[in-house]
Amino acid sequence: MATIATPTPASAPGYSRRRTVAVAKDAATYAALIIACFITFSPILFVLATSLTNTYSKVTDLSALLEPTFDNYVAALFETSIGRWAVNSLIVSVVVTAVVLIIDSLAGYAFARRKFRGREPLFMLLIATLMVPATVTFLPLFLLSNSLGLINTLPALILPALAYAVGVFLMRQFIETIPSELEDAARIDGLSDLAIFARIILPLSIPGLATLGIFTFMTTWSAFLWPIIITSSDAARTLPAGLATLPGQYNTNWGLVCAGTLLSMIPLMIVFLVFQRYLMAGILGGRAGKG
Amino acid sequence: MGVTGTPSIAVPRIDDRGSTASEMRGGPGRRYRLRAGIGPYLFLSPKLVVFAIFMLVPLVWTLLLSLQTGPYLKGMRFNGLENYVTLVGNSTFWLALRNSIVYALLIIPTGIGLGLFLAGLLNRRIRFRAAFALLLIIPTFTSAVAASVAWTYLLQTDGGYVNLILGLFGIKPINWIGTPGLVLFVNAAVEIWRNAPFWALLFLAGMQSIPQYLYDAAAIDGVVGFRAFRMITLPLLRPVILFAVVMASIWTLQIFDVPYVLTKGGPANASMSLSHYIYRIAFQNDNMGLAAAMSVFLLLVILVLAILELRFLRKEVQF
Repeated sequence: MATIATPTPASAPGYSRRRTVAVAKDAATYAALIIACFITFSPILFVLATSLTNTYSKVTDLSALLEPTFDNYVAALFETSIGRWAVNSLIVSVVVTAVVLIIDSLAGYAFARRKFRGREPLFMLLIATLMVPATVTFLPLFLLSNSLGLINTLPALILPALAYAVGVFLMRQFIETIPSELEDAARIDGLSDLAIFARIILPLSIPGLATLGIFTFMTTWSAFLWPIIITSSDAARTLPAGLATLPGQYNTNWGLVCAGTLLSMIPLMIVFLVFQRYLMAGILGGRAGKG
Repeated sequence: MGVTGTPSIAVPRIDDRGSTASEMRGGPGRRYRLRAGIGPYLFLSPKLVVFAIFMLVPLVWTLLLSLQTGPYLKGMRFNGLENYVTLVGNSTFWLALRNSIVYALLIIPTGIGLGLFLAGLLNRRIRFRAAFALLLIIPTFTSAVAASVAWTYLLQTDGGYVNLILGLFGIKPINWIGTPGLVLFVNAAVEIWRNAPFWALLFLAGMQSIPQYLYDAAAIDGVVGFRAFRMITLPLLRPVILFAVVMASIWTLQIFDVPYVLTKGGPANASMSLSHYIYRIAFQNDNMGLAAAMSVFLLLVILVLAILELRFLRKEVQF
């Protein structure tokens, strides 16, 4: 937190006491962080150990990590519906993320850079919907899907997720920070609106797009309430909806369940790590300074 | 021009069509079209169309639904405000609402407080910061459902992970999922476990953008350590914290996944969230109208809370 600009000379009074305090603070910091990491990481480690053993029993220890068997993962992917659920989740999440990135950045640009009638009230309306609880829209959406015959289909999983206003808000905030001189220059050179958007705004928005991409992928992948409302069979279920059906009353195959749980984490980890790089690169190297 | 640095990743390619004088005048050559007019609406329309169909229409539809009753397949009829009267008299509704509010009160201060604490730790000059951050962020990669399934396993009474560790300290096995007095805290703890690291990273990003000279100047006056955290870091983070608090409020009041999967709303509705109850009324009791009325009620609760938070927590920071 605070640092002192010039180090205190060793001969100054109270120096050794201050050093002890500083060392104690550092030790306490490391201790606290190690405890926190234990709390966040060790449960997952335990789940990992269980997934690597052939067990219905509840008691496992970490020795499984030394002699792992991957039977549970093979079973999870190829013999149970887990593979199907994962594919559904992947399709839905990728499509939603891709579409949201496009339409939200288009709309965000319009709100940030174009004047038009009703701009402010419309934006306020979008922001206001952030406060609307999920069940408010899910009930009618269920009825709508029912009458359109879209119950238990992937489009029903994809379409409602495109309507959230978070992305427009994010992209508008981001695009507002791009200096408008770049667009003015482009316009003088005769570029059309769309060309300005595609060639100038988009490349400079990569950190914002990366943030929105991570966020959208993670929330779509983890969505649970809507998928359990709208899907009723394994063929259409997403991974969260399917995973929730696994732990049974008695005799749950915990090895398999743990394998499925860990498998569901992998795409999120990959997306996070990949998009993080674009995020960092964009922030550190990618933009002209503000005017 | 206000451009001070050169972009090193994406260099915008501008076609050099050579603006001749006649082109600038709007004469022969490239036409210089005036902006305003239809352009903005073309950019907006994809989002607006989807927004209208899948957000606005359902919003209005729910308001109408809340005034109706009957099974949805055989047709519903209007019954005015009767659903609202019913829900006010329904003790399970108030229990579920209380549970959701308790979740919010447990999760928001603890989660955001822990996030600030962890961010403060990570912001210090320590080694292995990246390693710590990586280990801490792991719970965020679990969906709420995956985390709940994992913790169902870990919280088992006989030989579950948590009771195993407590056993090392001589504590008897505790029935985490089946004890009515504990379930609210257990669900809140799992949600905090999942979310606090995410808040920590968000706050850490904010903290790292605070210029060092502020701390140096304060140190000259003898303000260091925790006092500096309280008087410099926290006030400057206020917008981010406010954002986190408002988003967390909106989100936890509608919590569904963890209480549904981990404790299944039990025992005897002790941990059932309001969203869970709405789901049950709509799809098990086949009473869409009542469920819609409850959803509208929840919307109002969220609205009031968000407005209160924005009013009380938003203050300008001057240095």
